[in-house]
Amino acid sequence: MNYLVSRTILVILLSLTLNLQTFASPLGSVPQLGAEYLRIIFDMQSDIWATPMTHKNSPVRIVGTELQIPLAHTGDWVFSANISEESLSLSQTEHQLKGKSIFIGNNLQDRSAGFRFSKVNHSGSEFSIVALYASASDEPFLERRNRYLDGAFIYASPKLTEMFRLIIGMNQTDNRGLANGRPFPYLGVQIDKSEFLQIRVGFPFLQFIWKDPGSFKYEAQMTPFGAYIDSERPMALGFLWHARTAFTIRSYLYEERLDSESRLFFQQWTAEGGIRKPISKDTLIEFSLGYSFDRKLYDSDSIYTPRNDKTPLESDFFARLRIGFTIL
Amino acid sequence: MKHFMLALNFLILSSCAPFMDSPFSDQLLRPERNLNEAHKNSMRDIEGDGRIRIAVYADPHQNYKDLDMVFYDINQNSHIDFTVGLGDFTNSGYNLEYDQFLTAYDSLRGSKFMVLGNHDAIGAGADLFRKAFGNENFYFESTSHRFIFFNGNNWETPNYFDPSWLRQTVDDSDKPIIIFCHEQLLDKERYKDEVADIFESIVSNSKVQLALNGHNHIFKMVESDGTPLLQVGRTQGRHWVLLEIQGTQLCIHRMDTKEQECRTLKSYP
Repeated sequence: MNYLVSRTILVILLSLTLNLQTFASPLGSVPQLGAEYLRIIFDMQSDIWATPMTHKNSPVRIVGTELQIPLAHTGDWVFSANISEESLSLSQTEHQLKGKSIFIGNNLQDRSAGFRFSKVNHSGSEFSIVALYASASDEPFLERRNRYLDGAFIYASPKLTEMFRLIIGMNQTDNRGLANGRPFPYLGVQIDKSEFLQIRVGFPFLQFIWKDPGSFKYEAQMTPFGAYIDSERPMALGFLWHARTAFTIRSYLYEERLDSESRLFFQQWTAEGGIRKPISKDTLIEFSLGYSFDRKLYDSDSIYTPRNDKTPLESDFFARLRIGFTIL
Repeated sequence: MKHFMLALNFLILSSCAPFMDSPFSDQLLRPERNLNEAHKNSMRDIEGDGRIRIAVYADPHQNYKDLDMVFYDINQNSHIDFTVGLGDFTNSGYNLEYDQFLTAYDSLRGSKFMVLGNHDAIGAGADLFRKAFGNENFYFESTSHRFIFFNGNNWETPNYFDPSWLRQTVDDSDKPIIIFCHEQLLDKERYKDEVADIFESIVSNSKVQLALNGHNHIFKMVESDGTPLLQVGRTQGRHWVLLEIQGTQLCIHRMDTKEQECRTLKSYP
């Protein structure tokens, strides 16, 4: 039982730590390690102040879905099919980038489909291999240069000492935000500082998780692609109150870009608060209200070097609904 | 806690959108009303430079991404005097389709007009059209031309179909005329007997320089009694047409293929 619990915690923590964009989500926050069996996640963020029923801009909406279906498994390994889609609706199609007007389809989509093999070894080490056919465009899969293969390998060593585990990863994608189209290494350690404090640090990520089960949980993460701070406290009737502040960047290969190296980046700061409710041991539902600000669009081949001034988008209040169903 | 849960349930279950009674009703969520009339009243002198430039698109139903692109393209052309949609911007005339189209239509800049398509007229569609765009039959004039917008949906809107209004509006004009209608006026399947005779006489009228229609989804140009009948294709593939009129010279720019054709129109008087 202890082994199962610790492995479950490890899977979650490692998955939050590693910076491999293999599924649709903000850059720098995707996760895969461990023999997860079934996983269904739906996440929608929608502006609630701007509505299409007024002359104001339509709402910015981000909808993400992930589906992992086991195809074969034993107690130690799982071979699964993985499908994901995230869509970003910017509400308008005409934007000013690089000092001129450009067309961006109203539904930017980050889609992938492929396979994942995960194995937990008897020594305590584990690894995952992911291979996906992917696209991230306003015309997904229709333009030849917008299609690419996403691949990732992640390995976590057995405990090297009482506190340390080694994490090694390699990722290949055309939509990472920097060094697109080239293999990108990940190397770090997991430090189990105490029962309550865990630290993941390495290239290029840093994460703290400080928690007392049943009392509180604070989590902070920083990567070159974004950062967040999340806190969670229990309420009555099994609800969890949570608050979160995040800076996220999303990357897309919009069809009308002038050169293949360009990516369209959408960045936003969000501050939100809400409740989470574990419906069962496998299912978590979350509802939040928040404010999204400092939203910007820019065009570049790297998240750090916008080719021109970033184009601001209107800030707005938003609501988020997230439903997660995971069997480990 | 109980009240909190009830409030939360209400918030989640009621979603973010206003309540609609039914997709078949004539209730619109978008606030726009009488758009054709509003744009007609705000028209400036479109012949200041001696040319009239009209952007025309048709039948965007089922090609909504292409419609966004067409609107974007039209917005990039600042010399266009006005834009005409030749109808069928919805599939089934549902109020939600009208609302969605109006959201996209809002992004189209400049003076713009819409005619009623047969798909838009299904169910409560014609009433929705009247709310959003105003009367289906109307006209306005520039210095040299009369532009007539006509509802040709005899089957879908028999009560609003008024060929005598079209004949009267043509007869009253002392300027050359350009007619916009969703269906082709010489459609033998649709218009028969007296109605067909009226439309034949209108097309052959010396004042009618050009008649445009959509409906059949493909670009096509025919001529009857010296009057060009230009059929604009659907927006699929970023198809729209730019008309340039200078005196009796008409140039038709097909914007998806970049083809261009120029011809001389009937002169009047």
